[in-house]
Amino acid sequence: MSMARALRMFGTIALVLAGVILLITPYAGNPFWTGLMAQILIFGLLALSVDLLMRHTGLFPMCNGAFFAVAAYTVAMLEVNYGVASPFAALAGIASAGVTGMVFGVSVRASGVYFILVTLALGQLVWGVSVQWTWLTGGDNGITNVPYPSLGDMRIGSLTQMYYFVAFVVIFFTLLYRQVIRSPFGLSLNGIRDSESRMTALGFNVTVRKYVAFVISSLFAGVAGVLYAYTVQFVSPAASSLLISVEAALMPILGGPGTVFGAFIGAVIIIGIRNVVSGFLSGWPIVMGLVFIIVVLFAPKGILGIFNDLLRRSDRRDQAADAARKDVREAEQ
Amino acid sequence: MTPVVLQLLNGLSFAALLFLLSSGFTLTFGLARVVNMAHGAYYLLGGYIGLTVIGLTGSFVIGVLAGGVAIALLNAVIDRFLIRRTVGQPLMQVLLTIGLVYVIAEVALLIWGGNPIRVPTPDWARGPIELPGGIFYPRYRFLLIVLGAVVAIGLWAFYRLTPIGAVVRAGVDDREMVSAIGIDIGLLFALVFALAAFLAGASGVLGGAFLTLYPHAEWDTLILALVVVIVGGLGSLEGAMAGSLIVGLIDAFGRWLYPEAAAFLMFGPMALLLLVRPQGLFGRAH
Repeated sequence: MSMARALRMFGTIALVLAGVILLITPYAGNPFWTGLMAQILIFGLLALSVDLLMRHTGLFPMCNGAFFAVAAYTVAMLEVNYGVASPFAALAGIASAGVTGMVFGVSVRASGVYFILVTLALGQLVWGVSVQWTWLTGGDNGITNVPYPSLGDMRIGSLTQMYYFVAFVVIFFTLLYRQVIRSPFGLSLNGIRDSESRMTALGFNVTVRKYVAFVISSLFAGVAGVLYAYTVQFVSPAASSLLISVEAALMPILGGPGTVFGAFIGAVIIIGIRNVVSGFLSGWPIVMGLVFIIVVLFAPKGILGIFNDLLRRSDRRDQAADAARKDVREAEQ
Repeated sequence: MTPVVLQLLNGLSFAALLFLLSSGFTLTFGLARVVNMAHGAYYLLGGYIGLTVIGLTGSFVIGVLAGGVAIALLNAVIDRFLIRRTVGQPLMQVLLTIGLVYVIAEVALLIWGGNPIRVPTPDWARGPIELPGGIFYPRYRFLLIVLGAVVAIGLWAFYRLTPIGAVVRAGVDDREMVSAIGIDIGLLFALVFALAAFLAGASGVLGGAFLTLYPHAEWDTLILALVVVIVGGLGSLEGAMAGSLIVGLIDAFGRWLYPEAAAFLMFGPMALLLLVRPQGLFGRAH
C-alpha cells in the first residue's frame, strides 16, 4: 500500500474514531471523561470564535475569553439569583456577550500589534469586574450551583444528558460557523486579511466588516460561555482569565488551518494538558508553555498542516512512481 | 489639601515604576518591532532574583543590579534562540512569548513558592521623610519618584541628544536605511533589548519592595505596561512618560475616590483615547 493511501486511511479512521468517541464517551463509565469531552467541545467552539478573526480576518483578538465569561456570568446570575427560565437566561447570556462585543469593537480601529494589545487590555477589564465587584459576581468564590438547563417540565437531569445537549449545540454552531466563513461576507473577510487597501479600493467598507466580524465572534464566544456555565455549573474569575483567551487562540493554530476540525484537535491537547496532565504533574504550566513555543517554532501550520504536507508529498511521490512505471511499460512495448 | 498631595505622590511613585517597566518595552517595539509578552514575567523573575541576592549580600543596590543583569542575560539567550526566529510575525511572536510567560512564572513559583513576598527595603530608605508643608511621606516611595525622574531624564537625553540615540531614533523610523548606511543594526537591537530587559528585571526588585512579588504578577504587570504604551503610543519614549503619569495618577486617585472600580478605572480613558486617537498620544500609525 502506498504511503498516501495509508495516510488517507489513517485520516478516515481517526475521523471515524473521533465520531465514535464523541458518541460513546458518557458510557465509558467515568464522569470525569464525560466532563472533559464536554469542555473540549465548548472550548473548541470558543477557539472557532477566535479563528474567525485570527485566520479569516487577520486580527488577533485577546478578549474572547471576556465574551465567554460575560455570557457565563450572565447565565449563572440569571439562573441562580433570579430563577429566570433557561431559554431566556441562555439568550440573555449570548446577547450580553454580543453587547460587550459591540462595545469592545472600538478596537478594530487599531490594527496589527496594536489590536492585540488593546483587546488584551479590554479583556482584563472584564476580569477586573469579575474579581472586584463581589456583590455582582461573588468575587473569587464565584457563582455556584448553576442548574442544568430546563424547558418547562423538560429538564436535563444528568451529566450524560447535558453532554449530548452540548454536543448537539456545538455541532449546530460549528455548521453555522462554516456557513458564515463560506458566505460572501466570510470571503470578504479573507480579502481584508490579505489586503485591506485592495478591499477598500474595491469599494468594501473594511472597518464596518471588521466590526461585524468582531461582533459575530463575540456571539460565538458567548454561546460557548453559556454552555460552559451550564456544564461546569460554576462560574468564577477563572472563566475570565487572560489564559482562556490565550489558549483559545493557540487551539486553532495547534490543530491546523483549513477546516473547523483544527480548533477541536487543538482543544483536545490544550484541555488535556490543563485537566489531565495537571493531575499528575505539578509543573504542568511548563508543559503548556513548551507547547506554545514548540508550535510557534516547529509546527506553525499545526497538526493538520503537517498531515496535509505529508499527504501532498507522498501523493507527489506516488505520481512520480506511476509516471516512472508508465515510462518503463512504454519502453518495454 | 494634604490627602490630595499624598495621592499625587502615590501616583507619581507608581508612575515612576511604570515608566521603568514600560520604557524598555516601548523602545524594543519601536526599534526591533518585538512585542515581548514576557516583559511582566521578566519583572517578576528579576524581582525574585534580586530578593535572593539581597538576602545573600544584604545590599539592596546590588540586589536591584543583580535582578536587572540576570534578566538582561536571560533575555540575550531568549532573543538569540527564540524571539529572533519570529521577527515579522507578530501573532507568532505574541504566542511564543506567552509560552515563555508560562514557563518563567512556573519556574519562579516552584523556586520561590506561592505566597506574596515583600522585598526588604534598605535601612537608608525606611521610615518617613518630611516634605515642605509638613507632609510626611514614605522615604522609599519618595526615592522611587526621584529615581524614576532621573532615569526618565537620562533615557530622554540619551535618546534625543547623543549620537547613539540619534541612530536608535533613525532605526525606529527606517531600519533598512540605517543598515544600508553601514550601521550594525543587529548590535543596536541587542543593546536596546538588553537595556529593556535590565530595566524590567530591576523594576521587579524596586516594585517588589512596595507591591510585593506574587504569582500572577507576571500578567498584572504586563497589563499595566500595555495600558501605558497603548495610552502613550507604542514605540515612543515620550509616550511611555506620559502614559506612566496618566496611568499612575488615575490609579492613585481611583483607589482613593472610587476604590470599587480601581482595578479597571484606567481602562476607561484608554478606550476613549482609542476612539479619538487609535495610535495613542505620541504614537504613529503602524
